[in-house]
Amino acid sequence: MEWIAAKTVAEALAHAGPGARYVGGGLSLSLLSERGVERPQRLIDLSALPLRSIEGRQGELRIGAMVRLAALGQEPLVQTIAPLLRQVVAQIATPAIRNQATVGGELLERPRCPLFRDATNPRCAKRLPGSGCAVLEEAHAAGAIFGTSAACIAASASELAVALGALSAQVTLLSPEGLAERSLPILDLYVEPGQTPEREQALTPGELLTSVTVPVSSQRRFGYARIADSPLLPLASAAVMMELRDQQVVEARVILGGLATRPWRARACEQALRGHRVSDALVELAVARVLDGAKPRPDSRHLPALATQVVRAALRHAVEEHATVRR
Amino acid sequence: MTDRPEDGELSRRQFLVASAVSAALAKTASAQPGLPPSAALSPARPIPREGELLLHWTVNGQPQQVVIDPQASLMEVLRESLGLTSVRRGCEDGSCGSCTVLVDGKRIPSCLLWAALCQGKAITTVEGLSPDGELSPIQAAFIRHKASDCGFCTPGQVVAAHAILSEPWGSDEDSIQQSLCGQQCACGRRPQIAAAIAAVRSQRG
Repeated sequence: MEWIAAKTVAEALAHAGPGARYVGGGLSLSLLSERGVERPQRLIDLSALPLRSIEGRQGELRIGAMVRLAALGQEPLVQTIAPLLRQVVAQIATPAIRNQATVGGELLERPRCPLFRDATNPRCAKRLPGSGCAVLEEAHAAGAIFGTSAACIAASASELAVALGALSAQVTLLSPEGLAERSLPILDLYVEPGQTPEREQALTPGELLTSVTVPVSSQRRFGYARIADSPLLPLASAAVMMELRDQQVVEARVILGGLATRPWRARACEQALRGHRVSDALVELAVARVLDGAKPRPDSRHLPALATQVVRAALRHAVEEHATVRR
Repeated sequence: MTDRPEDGELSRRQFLVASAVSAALAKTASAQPGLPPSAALSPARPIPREGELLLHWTVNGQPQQVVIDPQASLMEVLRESLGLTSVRRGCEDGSCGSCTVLVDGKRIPSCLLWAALCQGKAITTVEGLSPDGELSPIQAAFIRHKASDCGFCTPGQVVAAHAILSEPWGSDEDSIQQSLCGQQCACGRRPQIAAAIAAVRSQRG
């Protein structure tokens, strides 16, 4: 295995190619490599690149992809501009992991499906295209209930993406082809497994995630809730946003984590909120639509209840949040 | 190189253990048996072979050069090349905290950290907390509060507790519990560990 300590972004991009992987904090990639789940031939260390700043610009917060989660959580600007982000970051993994893990690495974390992460399991279409899915075939309780396909039901892992989805953040990507830069709404970064579960993000070959941009809004309220039985394995989470005008919901976002193959917008739930006066009754009407489009299996009958619980809790937090963010 | 257990070969970690065992044997026997160590500390000028890396770093205050396999974790290099077995091989997925060390003063699970990411860094294990043989305040507090039982997790707990004292946590019980997330003690000494941290914190005001 070849180790490249890139000194510039251009040098990092120049080393991209088949078998090459970018290294942010490297914690997850080292674990997956050790287990034989990932087999990188070339590691491109991004530690020295100038992607570690957090800047408050006009109307937005820009976060470099190599910012450590601990630094993100402790940054006063984040607390002022996007307290939701701080709340979510403070619950990701463990404090020691957050000292090393990066924003970019967390966003591109591979799924925690136990049978994907077990290289001795021969039936995982995510690792071995066309090999089936041992979770489905052996009726394990693991797996997502939204956005699944016959090939794969692995739940996406990023919690940061759930929060950033509610915050309407954008990601900036840089391609090795002519150093072309593009921006995407964060939720468009993720793709459903379909028949190609080996692909989890809409990244082109060698494309590098360089930063995340969070717009600032004084009119929006946010809420977050999660259920976890271990710090490394949140079962379900929800981040919500409600934009209110005279107590009317003019815009809403409800993002589910842990239960879907990608950070999941509960669109029917959002639709139920829009145009109505905010109230406890409205929260219940919206919660009743959380499971629209869900595909629970007999082996995961406990998961729909988790989805409604986290959305209800997150919406209540948003309703009760009186101290809205001001510029 | 392959890590797949069904191949029936030594996995890389098993290989490293074998290397460490053979390196230990080499100290007592004159002949070097079996496999060469994948990472070796040399007093002179270590020369990396193809595919290896030369690290310049500081371990417990000592500047060193060490040749490593780019796939080696910091935990493996500290244990098997430098003999610092206070750094435990625990869960190896970052959740137990028995391998916690400081990298430039910040606690990190060394089992998941590629040593190659530690170029130019200062590494501190529990040995580095009492360089002159004097117990650091947190070590003394661990003894006073009987915060250790079997001792397996203790070095990682002490390093983590040392780091927690310089992190921005609140002083209430809930904050101390949150700060210890990822530090497990199978003997159930968590309350005593938390008490030791609280005691040092209150001494410092």
